[in-house]
Amino acid sequence: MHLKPLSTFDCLYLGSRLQRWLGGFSAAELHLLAYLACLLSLYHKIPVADWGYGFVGTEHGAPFSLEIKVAAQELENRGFFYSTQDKLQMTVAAEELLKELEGMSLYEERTDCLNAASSSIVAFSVGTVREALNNEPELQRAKQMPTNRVLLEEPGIDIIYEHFGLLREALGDRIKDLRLPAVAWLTALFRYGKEEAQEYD
Amino acid sequence: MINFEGLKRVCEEIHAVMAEAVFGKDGVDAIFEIMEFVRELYRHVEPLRIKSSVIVFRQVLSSAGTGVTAGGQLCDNLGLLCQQAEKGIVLEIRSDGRQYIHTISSVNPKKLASTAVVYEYQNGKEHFFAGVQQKAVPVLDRTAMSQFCGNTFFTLREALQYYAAAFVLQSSCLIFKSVWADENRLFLRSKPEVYMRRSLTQFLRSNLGAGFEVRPEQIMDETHPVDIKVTKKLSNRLMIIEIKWLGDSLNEEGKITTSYRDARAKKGAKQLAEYLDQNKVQAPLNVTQGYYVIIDARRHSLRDDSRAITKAYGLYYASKEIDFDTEYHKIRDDFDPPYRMFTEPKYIDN
Repeated sequence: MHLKPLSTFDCLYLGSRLQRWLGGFSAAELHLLAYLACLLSLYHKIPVADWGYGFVGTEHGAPFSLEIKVAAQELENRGFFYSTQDKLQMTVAAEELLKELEGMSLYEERTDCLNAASSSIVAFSVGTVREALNNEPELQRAKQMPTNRVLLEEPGIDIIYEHFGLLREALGDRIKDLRLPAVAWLTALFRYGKEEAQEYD
Repeated sequence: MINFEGLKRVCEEIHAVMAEAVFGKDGVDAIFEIMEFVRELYRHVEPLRIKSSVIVFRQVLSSAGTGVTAGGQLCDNLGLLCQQAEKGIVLEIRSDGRQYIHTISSVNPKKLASTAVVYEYQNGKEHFFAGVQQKAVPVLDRTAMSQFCGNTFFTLREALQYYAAAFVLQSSCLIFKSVWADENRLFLRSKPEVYMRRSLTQFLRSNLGAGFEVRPEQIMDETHPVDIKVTKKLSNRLMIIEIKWLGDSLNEEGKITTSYRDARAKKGAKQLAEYLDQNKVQAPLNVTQGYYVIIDARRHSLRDDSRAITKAYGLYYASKEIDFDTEYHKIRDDFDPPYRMFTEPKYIDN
């Protein structure tokens, strides 16, 4: 099968960070952090279509991307990822491939978003990031439906833009490092998001 | 609800925003380096054992003239620091990523912060310092002694085993502590199951990987809720957790009102087996596994007026397994071996 460049790069980048900090990862961590990275690209005012692939929200309120699933499977088939005891690991060859790709301009803009998303698990546990994103308005709406729902389409995406507009104002426009809005937004979602979700009921 | 005031309040509280305001991008890099390192440190040093303080700092500006960071001893094995936890630990992360140990008496976090980002853990509270500012670490995980000691488990089994050893045995979970009626942990309070369920739910939410959804008190049939339901997202796996407790609970007048022993544990196992049978009918497409958690607070020879206990009586049941009439975990493949989690009292020497 053909490897798609953007989702493959994202899996390698996130996999590398997760392995370093958690000693391994599951596909669910890749979907979660890739979605957070995509959201952070919106904070950077990058159009959602430019991310390169889309997400759906499952009935459990989890983000899922077919492209991430296929890329992770293909990386495993080709020996870049291997599974051990319920988790995935990266091989040395995968780390080397990532090093080569990291220097390419195609990935430069998204690297900031992937870095901020993965750094959030240094500030919080993976479980806390998952719980915070559970309160994200798009995933909350997905949870209320019995089938998968396409994420980040209008009008749902407008709420995210509204949050980010307020967050930019609160942090100050001079802040360019995405790690700060990531930590602030996740904290706010964890604390206040549940009430927000109830307003849509 | 998320509004401008709420976001502004959060931004004012966030330590990384403070580090940026004081030291710019170098401050943000420093605080993330510190958080990454502190997570690694707490894999070796249990925050519960820290009687003094832990200080970790990363210089951002030149410290020349401040005289606060001269010297230090290279630390190449974090495992050795667990012995030092009682006396206090001071570590400096240098620009090459290596860590140096300093003596606790030589360091003042507030003074250090003029040129460095500083983390301090003291009496269960965590702060970051930068310049003349100081921010408490927001508490999002209420079960943990530190916001940086969370784990990520990829199986429920591993998570339950860790919870038993690290949270229940010494009642170190901040929510679980509320199950006790007395400070020596002899008697449970009335209806302690509420706190047990809350503690385990919160622990699992914070410590299971991204692929899990944890929900407390889920209805399995018309009459019985199961304590916790864990769903493995992106699959048809469902895990149900039943919690029972053993021991003696006191009412507000200080009288023992309930004493649960082996019979209670056996009843709970039967109950879980029945839930699993019902679930097969109601959700035939799910692959369901049952997990039976028994919080064991049994003590030997307690009376209503007991105030202290010897080690022999306090730990009498520590290794006394329950003799189940029917060992469901051996006769059905959807029933995990029971997780008996003994919880120790504070005892006096014999």
